[in-house]
Amino acid sequence: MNSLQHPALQTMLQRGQLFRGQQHIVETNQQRASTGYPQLDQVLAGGLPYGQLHEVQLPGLFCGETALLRAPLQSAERANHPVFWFNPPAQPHVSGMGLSHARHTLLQGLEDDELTWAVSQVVSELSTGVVCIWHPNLPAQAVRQWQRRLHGELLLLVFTCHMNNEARAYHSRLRLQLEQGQLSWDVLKRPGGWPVYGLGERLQAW
Amino acid sequence: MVVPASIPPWAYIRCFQLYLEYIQRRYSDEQPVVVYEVTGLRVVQANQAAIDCGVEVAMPLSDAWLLCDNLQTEQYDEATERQLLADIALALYADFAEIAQDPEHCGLWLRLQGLQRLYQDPGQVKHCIQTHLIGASYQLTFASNPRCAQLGLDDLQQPMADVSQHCLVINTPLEETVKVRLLHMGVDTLDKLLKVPTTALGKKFGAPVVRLVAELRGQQTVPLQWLQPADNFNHRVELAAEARSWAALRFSCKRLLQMLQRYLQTRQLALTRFLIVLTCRQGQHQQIPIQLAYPQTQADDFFALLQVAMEATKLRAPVMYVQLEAQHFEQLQATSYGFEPVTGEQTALPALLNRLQMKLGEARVYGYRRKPGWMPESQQEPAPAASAPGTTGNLQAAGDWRPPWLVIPEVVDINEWQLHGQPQRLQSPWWQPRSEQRDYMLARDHHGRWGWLYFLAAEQRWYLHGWAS
Repeated sequence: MNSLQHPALQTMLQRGQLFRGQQHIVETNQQRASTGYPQLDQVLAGGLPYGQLHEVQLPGLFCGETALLRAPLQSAERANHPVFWFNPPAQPHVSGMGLSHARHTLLQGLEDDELTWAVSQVVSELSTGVVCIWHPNLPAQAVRQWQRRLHGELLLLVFTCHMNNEARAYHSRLRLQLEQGQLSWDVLKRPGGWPVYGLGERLQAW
Repeated sequence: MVVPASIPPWAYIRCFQLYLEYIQRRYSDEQPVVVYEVTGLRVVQANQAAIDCGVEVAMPLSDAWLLCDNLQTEQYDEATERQLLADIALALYADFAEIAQDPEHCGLWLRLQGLQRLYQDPGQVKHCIQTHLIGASYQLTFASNPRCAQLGLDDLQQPMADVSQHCLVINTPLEETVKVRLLHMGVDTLDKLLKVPTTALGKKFGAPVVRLVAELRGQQTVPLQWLQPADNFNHRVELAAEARSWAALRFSCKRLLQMLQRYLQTRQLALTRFLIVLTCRQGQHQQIPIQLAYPQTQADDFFALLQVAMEATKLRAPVMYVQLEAQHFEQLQATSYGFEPVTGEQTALPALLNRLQMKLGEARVYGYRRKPGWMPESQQEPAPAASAPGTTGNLQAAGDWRPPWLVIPEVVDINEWQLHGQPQRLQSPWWQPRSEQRDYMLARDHHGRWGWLYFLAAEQRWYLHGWAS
């Protein structure tokens, strides 16, 4: 029997904990924001790295994606960094999120071209902070442009309800499924690893 | 020991052909150009190319045409020349506090008496004036009193009797009839006038001549109109040709914004809004308001915002004049960054927000801050973009849980939700007009999402007020 056929190895391979040769070495010294979900953090080598663009695909709004914001917002809070909210689905509640010192800017009611332009401006100018974007389906060109312009420690999170499998220039792509309060995370794309499917988590309130 | 030369009390700048130099930019230097007076059709200003052809000032325009085949003529515009002189005065105001305008002779008086500490010798004054009048032809005279300075009599270097020999009476600001009578009497130069006893002058020529002599001798002050810069910035430039697009307006707008920057820097002010007025040939105006989220002082920052605004603006008609009006100023605040080096982020964020607000509108780019309030929706309010919410002004009890998202309350069917935990009662005070009692609870919908519901006893209904997942 081929050693790779061993059930334990197969499980590790499926979970992305074991890679074949020539794999990319994950930069462990890169600063990362915890996702709030332990299994997801483990697969992502500690969380979502700063200075990158990440996509989160959702079956609907408020399905558990807010937990992803906790660590980046706390980091911005500590460092008084700017936080940009592009077309948020509801009003961020500063008391609920525990925000006091981070500098917040909301951009509401933006059309597609306005949003693309505004995010490009932010990405070009700032090197620290958090940018959260809600958009049905971003064009590939905009994603590529932002990823290229990103510099420093600016974290970009794109939330979308469109389950898109087309190739995009995101650093990592996550897909969330929610059934009866049970979360299931799929990591569609991540650096240095294959996709990982079905990371189960219990959806907790904020 | 060399004693430094003290600066003279008065200086006078006479600009000979300010209007001609203003319109000369439309022509090449080789092109003969004259400015003529409409009433007498006489040449009042001529450029070097026209002078080389034999044209002289005060010559009839018809004679000038005979001398130059390709002569270009422009009608004299006194209002524009006065505006140009006022612009020069404002520019000089950065270095000289006491300036009086002499629009009739296109000149400026500078009172230098109080500037001994700033300028040790006349050379420094000359250099300073030169920096503001680059490219302009002018005559600068130092004198002991304003009238001598105006007439070009430098009575500080030579005795008055000597310098006044070359000054003709016809150049004095006396009435024409008086000048003719003086010439009939054989008094054609100022030195002759000054030799005539004052009493005789008074009897024969009246008070104006006596006053002039007293002013020349420094015995009487000259009434001057001191420059008092306006509290607002308002400048207009005429375009060399009609502009039909933003690209053609860029240069003029940049020039105006640089003038604005100098204005702000001189007064240590910053600006949060200004207005660009575009005027077309028929006199129609198109206004472009520029609103800034954060005060700025730099022309480049203003221009970046203007560019954003102009890209979204369609010109209604070809533009002839561009005007910049600024009225609302703020005192420039010193920013201390401590011992840490200033990062690009600290300077880039205000400029970025200005740009976003300019393009998207103030109503769509904003922040949040906490405010005193009993109910969750009244515990925060919109604030300028990039505001920190702050920690004060919150009436929420310590340890009270709140969801991360708030929505406008909407009625829900409680049968579709599963309640969890203990209720939390929030009640607005009785003295408020619409006092409410709400019992909040966390609940899960059929997907398993966490919502924040409240039960309104008065209506016996459940509302969804926030999300927590």
